[in-house]
Amino acid sequence: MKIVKRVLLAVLLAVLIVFPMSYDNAYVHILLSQTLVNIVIVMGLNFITGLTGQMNLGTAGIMALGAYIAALTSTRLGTSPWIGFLLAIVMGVAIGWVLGYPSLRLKGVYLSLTTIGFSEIVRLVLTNWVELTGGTMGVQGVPHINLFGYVLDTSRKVYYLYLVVVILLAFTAWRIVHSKWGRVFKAIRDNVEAVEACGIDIAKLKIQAFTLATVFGCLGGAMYAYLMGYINPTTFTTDLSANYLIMMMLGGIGSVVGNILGATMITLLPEMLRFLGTNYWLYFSIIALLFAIFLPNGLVSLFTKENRLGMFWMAKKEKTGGRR
Amino acid sequence: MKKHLAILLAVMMVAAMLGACGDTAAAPATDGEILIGLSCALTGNFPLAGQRTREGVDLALEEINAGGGVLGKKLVYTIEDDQNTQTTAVNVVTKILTQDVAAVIGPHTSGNAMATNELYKNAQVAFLTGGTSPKLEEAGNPYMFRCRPADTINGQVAAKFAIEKLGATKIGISFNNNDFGTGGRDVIIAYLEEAGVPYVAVGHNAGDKDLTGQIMQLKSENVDCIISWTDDAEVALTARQLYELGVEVPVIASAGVVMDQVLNLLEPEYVEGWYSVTDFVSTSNDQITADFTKKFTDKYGYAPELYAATYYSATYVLADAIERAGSDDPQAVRDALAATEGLTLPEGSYKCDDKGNLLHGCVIAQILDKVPTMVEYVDLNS
Repeated sequence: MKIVKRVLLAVLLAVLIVFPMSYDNAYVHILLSQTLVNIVIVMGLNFITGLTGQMNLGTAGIMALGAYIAALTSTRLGTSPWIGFLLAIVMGVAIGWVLGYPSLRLKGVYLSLTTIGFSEIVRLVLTNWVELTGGTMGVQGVPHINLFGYVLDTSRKVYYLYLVVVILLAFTAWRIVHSKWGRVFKAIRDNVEAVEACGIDIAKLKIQAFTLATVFGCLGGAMYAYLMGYINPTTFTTDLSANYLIMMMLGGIGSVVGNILGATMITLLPEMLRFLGTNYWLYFSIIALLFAIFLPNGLVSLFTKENRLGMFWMAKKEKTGGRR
Repeated sequence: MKKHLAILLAVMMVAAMLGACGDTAAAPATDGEILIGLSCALTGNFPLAGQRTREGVDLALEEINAGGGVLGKKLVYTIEDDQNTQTTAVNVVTKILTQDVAAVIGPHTSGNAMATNELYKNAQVAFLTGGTSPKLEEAGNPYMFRCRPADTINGQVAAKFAIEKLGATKIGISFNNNDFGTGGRDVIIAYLEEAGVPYVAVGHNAGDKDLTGQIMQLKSENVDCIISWTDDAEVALTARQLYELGVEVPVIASAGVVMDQVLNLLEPEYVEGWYSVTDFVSTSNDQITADFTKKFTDKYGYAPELYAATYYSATYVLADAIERAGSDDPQAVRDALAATEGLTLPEGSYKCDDKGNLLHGCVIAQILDKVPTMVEYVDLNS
């Protein structure tokens, strides 16, 4: 079984490497690169919302700060994008502590409220602080990433860098989920009193989970900025935060593989449905809804034994007296 | 059970395809066709804009093709929905540019024009955008053309009208402290200073609920004309309070006041006789606009508005450029667009300057019983 899995993984990797090389279409390349960015952000969100069960609705604000700090240092100070990535990570840690410390010591819905508030404040500041951020006209001319003198000036080149980044981050995330940390995160979600009774500092662990989310979120933001070459505040709305939650839920809450599947599906499916004309968004919503109903554990459950899809067909079998 | 899901999805896909058959937009370029791209917001936060855009372009293409097309070929478009968001706009423009297009219309807003600016520049394909921010000029993209008057033009037209037609000797400027309001204020002040007309400028913030202080200041300064440069909610407030405080001087307002969403907030007497500088009013008695309004109303059952007029005209501008270029080669079309001159359409008279601005004038409308009525078309070129 393990060998089969490894072979499948190798085949998948080979496809991911060969496909964009052989298929020369800028539209496909930019979509694939965006998928990779979204995967990073959803994997981050998974730590706090998926594993620890604390609703974070501020993903857009977190992403925006990561994107802006990277874009602004690169355009205003002319520093290398690599410093932009580094600063985005520092920004992630800072948000994790500054926002997480007060809000995660409280119980209930307070994290949702503070994160929504945070996200909106970030968006309004970015919109109105025109001298620094360029206001609604955004930051233009974000430079391309330079990899040891090799400039990544097309989305195909960026794709390969991001693919490597995503593989490393996915491996890290997967290790964290299956470590002591990951188990404590899940325990906090399932039975917070029991965890507390074991003598574990819950607030500290929640902040750690949140910081992981903000670091991944800010890094994703920076990746977005360097991919698009232009950012403006109207992108980072509450809708975007909700979209990341949907990716996580449809993919499979708590599972790294699920995050990857969810981000891929939600990013690519609407674009694939464009041939349907004006109504494509309706069909997309219907498909998403069907997945939510028939696969409550996410797309990832298609590949695992916890699949609850069967019960719908089971019931039918009993009704017909088991003749089938 | 996976099989069941697969069947279910397959059935849905087929149903979806059947459902969509009615409105497939256009086939890709063939021998006898010239393909242009169209990116507009058919879904998202402002779908009406995209729908009117499409209706305007559809009507123009219908007329052009009925009259023999362009260069003897049929002009067709490939339409994509940009949802009025940056990410989707970048995606759809990338998609449109993978096809063999002569030029592209859209995306509409300044932000999305800026987001897709680099793509067009790299692909060397010209595009017409409805973005009006003066900052678009800073991009310095030779492939960007603006098919609506820039915000700076409206401000100058307002000031010019106040001095020349209303004979104002001291002008009060009431402006919003945001990008749009201060941008307009700066343009108006520059014009007034050059003309040597004294002025008083008072600002308010977006979301203000009371402007008594600002209005009393204008009243005590004895201004004989007020120019109001602000957003929808604030212009409604300005109108109500000017009326309540008994200020009876003529008012010229930025375009928002002639939009239905603002007029619906007001009593007719608040804005009776107000002037507004805007792109387009369908009640114009100008022959070209009247013809367009009639054709549009006959086809769709309601009068055209700004988006329909803008992109109906933009389609004609593009068709004219392709005709003059003599081919559908994107570079030739760009050069022809840059040489656009003397083309009069419902949206105004087109003449391209060296920064890609196609329109240099706008409409002064007067509100009479809540109906914006054409007063004149002011062209800064003439």
